[in-house]
Amino acid sequence: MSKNNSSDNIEPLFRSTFNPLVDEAGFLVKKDGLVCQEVTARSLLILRTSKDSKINGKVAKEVFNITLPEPLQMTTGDGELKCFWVSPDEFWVLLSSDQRQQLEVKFGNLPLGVSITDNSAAYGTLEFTGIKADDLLSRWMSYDLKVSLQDGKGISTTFGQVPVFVFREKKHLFMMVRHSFSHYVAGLIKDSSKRI
Amino acid sequence: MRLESRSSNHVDYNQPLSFVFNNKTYKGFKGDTLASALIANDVLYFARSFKYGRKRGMIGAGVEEPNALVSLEIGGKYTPNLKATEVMLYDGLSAVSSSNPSSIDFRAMIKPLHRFMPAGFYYKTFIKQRVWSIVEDRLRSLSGFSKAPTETDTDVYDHIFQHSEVLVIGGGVAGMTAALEVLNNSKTARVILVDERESLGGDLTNEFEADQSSIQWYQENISKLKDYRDEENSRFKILTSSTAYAWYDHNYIEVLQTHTTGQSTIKEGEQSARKVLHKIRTKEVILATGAHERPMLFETNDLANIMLNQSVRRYLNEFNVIAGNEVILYGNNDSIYNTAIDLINNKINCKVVDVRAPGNESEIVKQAKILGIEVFQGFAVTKAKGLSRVNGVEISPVELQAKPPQWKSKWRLSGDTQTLKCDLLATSGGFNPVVHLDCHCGGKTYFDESCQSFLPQKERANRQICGSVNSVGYWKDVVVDAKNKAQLTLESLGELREISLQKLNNQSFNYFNVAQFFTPVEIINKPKVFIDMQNDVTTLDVALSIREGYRSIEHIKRYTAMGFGTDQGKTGNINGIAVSAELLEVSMSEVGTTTFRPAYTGVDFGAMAGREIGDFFDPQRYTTIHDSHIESGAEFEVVGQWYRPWFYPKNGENMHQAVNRECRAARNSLGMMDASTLGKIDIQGKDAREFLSRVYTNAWMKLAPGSCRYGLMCNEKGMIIDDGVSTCINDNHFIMTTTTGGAASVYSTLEMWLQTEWSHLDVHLSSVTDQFSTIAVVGPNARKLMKVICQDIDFETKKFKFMQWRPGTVCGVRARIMRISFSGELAYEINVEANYGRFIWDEVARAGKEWNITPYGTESMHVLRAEKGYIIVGQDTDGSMTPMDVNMNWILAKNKSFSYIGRRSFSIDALVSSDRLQLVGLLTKDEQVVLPEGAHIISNKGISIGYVTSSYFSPTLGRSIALAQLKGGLSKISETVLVKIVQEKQGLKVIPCVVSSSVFYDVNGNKVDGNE
Repeated sequence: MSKNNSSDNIEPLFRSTFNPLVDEAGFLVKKDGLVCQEVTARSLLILRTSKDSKINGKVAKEVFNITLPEPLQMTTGDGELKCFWVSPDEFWVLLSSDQRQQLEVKFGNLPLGVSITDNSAAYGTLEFTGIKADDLLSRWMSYDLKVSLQDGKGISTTFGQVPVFVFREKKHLFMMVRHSFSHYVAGLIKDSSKRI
Repeated sequence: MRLESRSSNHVDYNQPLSFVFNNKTYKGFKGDTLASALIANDVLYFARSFKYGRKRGMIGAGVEEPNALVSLEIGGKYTPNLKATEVMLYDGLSAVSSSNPSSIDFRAMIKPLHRFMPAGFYYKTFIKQRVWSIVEDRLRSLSGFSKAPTETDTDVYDHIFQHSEVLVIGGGVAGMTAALEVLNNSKTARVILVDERESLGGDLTNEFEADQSSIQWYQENISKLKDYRDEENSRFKILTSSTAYAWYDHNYIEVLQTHTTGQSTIKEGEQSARKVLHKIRTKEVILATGAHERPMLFETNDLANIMLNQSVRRYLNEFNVIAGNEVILYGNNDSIYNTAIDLINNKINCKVVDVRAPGNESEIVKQAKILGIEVFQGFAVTKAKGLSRVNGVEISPVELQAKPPQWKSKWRLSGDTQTLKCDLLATSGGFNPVVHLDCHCGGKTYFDESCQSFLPQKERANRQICGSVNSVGYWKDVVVDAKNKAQLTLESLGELREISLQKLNNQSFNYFNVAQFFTPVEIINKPKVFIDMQNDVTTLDVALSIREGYRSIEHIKRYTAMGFGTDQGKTGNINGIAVSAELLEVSMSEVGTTTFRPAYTGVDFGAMAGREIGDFFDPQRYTTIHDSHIESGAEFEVVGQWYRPWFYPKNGENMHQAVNRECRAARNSLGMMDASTLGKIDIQGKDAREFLSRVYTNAWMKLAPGSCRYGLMCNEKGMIIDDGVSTCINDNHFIMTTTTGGAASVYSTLEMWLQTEWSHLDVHLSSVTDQFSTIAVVGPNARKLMKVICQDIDFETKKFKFMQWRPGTVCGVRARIMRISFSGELAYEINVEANYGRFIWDEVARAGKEWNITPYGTESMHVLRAEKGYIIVGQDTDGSMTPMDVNMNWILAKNKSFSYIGRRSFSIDALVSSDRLQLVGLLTKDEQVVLPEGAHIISNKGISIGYVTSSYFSPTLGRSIALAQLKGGLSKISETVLVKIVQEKQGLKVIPCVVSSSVFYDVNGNKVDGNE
């Protein structure tokens, strides 16, 4: 249900989740020791698995060319593809929008018990860098980010009062926020960054 | 007065400050507390007592102070009920006493009547006589507390989540030692050290003059701690000016940190929070909270300039201030001698009155005598002399009697009294370990006879106690104790395999050779022996409560109000327990303590709320089209956190005018609506159809791909909980829509069924509410518009029927288009990826100009659906309505193989009774009268027989319409009923209405296909 490359003359205007909350370069906050930037052109597929782990492993390999991660962990695949364990039968596959379009043809032939739901437009992703990033997030997030959220791990938690998904990759911290909560979350981040 | 000849570690004489207290300007210095600065300025009185209006002075030097309550600043920065002992001075500070000691007070003028105002006075005089409502305001204003703020707090308060392996509470010698020991012996453990004072060290400063080694120890250790703190990626945090006020389960502890000065610090473009609430989760706690000194009991012990001994010492050594020139130190332990020696060294006259008999003296007593301090051993102060401030004391010899079989005071006054002159009396009746935090979370106390204190239980998982809270008094013993406890903590963390604990002798564990509680009956039977200064509770009040039959200390506390208020009995409660024990003739242990509950100290409401105020109070959910609605001047209403356009006023229209215009557009030409907020659940799996059949009341097994169906969802009791349209994508894939407000609860209910009762079904649910933007195009011209914006779908009626959906491309964006209607008109819902929502909205608006397309909000949506008699779950139902009640028997399937949720309940007679509340329409006889929603329908006898659920003025029909739940309503069609309404300033009025069908418009459903 994304932009269609039809012969229609109108060029559809894509608006990222945090548009117009971020500046033109995509920064929500940019100051010494703290940078928060929106990451765009990423897709999210929700992979729900069956009780048969062999089937699941096979689907993961054939559709995404990855191994399913262990609980609380993440595995990586080609390009930007990452797969997070979310619950015993739910995995989140993050990939570029281009990758998603290439893989879409495979979604129609999944074995019984396995399903994929495209939720790419439902979430926006913020990337936090700088030595003060953890300080900022600790204003609104009860999870022990410093010790418990190491590289290659993702968790569902809350930011303020809303659900978010957080993961750390190559020491950068990413937070996925539901579209409808983007104003609220951006507001909290901007407000707290004044006192960081 | 201030002794400026001395240097101070705390006060910076190079930074003079000016401040205002009770409308007078004073000078102080940076590093002063408000209390120390006022003592330096010879201010004596800080409050009037709450019941008797007695002038009160300062007692303590920290959190234990019960009298010196002040309110700080005015307007948006006003903060009530702060302790002057805890407010750090800043330039321009402005404070007033919570109860002005300088004012004329009628309570003080009726002194002879005070004897008729014992404990229980207010209850017996006012509440029992039922005149409380008349006097409540006046009495509460005399309670001695500050007035509540009337303006919005302009300060900023933050919350921070913290995590540590070890949390050390208390930054005195014990806390510093323990923190350092953990840091030295672990390479990974994160440590947080919390202390309520502005700087670490606790009372060690008091030892600096007498013991040079204490200075060296302090400097070495503070330096090491700061080195750890300042390391890159440090694992050590020091939180000063921070009070751990609550300890909850799983070692979750809340700490309130006050900005260094306590003043507001919002500057342009830069903020810092005035207070920060740290929410700390830790594996291990080391409790080094110290102990509060308790006062001695004697007659008129509440006069100004009667202070706690340790407070006098702290004011002297930390702030170089003293409240008098002729000091008497009175107590039952060695700590008074330390103060006496400090005073003499500062050339301040002092005498010591010690209830302990001579002989078997410790070194410090001998040292005091050598210095020439006059010591009255075996004497007790029986009365403080003076009108409002102390100017002398009466003392009497006491003796310790032989050991009685049961608990009874061993002390007896045994001779003639004599008078000593003084202008400052410092007392020490022993020490109360600060056990409050430990008890918040289930910790118990026990009474230790040797140190005459309630101590925290020794053994407790993931917690150690050290220092004064463990009854260790001398600082060098405290160091040993803290090191031992740090090692035990490391062992518990698995960081230390072998521990070597240093032994302390028993003598170390009784504070300063404290003697037994001094509560002879000759003193506690006197009037005006105050136990609780903040609540004016005397020993006679405790005696009265016991005479009235109270035995439990919890009841005695509540009868007398002992330990209430901001003080929470920090100084007085234990004395109250001792007096109770004496009068009940039981041991202290048997009396026990009252329950310690959070919060240990007062916590500002602002600090509790943090930043979750204003826009951040509750998450605000916006659709991707939200900014367009703002640009169009929409008014919003909140529906389950979503901000939905309510109506779009134009050219000064009021709501009524705007809604009429919007409704006419949808009925006569074209309207558009942002329907993105509806909940959407992606349902996949081979049993998806079966699942829908079970959760909805109607049939789903034959719904073909490309079709949609309306469903009604009930709970097990047969009551309607939600409704919506579900779309069949293919045999194994459906998308369910829910009500906006019900999305989360429906999702969790469905998951609950899948994970508990129906785990064998192959069904996966995913919330896709945020994935799609939904734009409803509504009206007779809707088809024409769709043909313009979407060329790859055949919109002819026979090709694209009502309750069908088609995939297509709208303005270059892939979309799912559904032909469903919540207005009765021809309507399409365009679903696109949310990132294209705003674009499609704009394109629809642009293409629809030809038909004067009009955006409409939820109010018009309500009118349009009410005209058609469509229910809104939660408005026309209230959790007690069955499908039959809303006249929807048609949606109950009869031949499902499995059944569905709620069906079983429909066999209960009470649920199918024709006498239940049933959904009907109401038409007012005066067509212009719009009934208020919620108004009751009354019988001829005036009894409620139903109520109005929805009510609007229908511009299409030119009259008002209403939906209502009416008892046996379906059998009352065409009858006239009465609706009782309340008119502003006109009282009650009864409106006659005719009961009608709930469908008011297009009864046969001809409009849904449009005009073609």
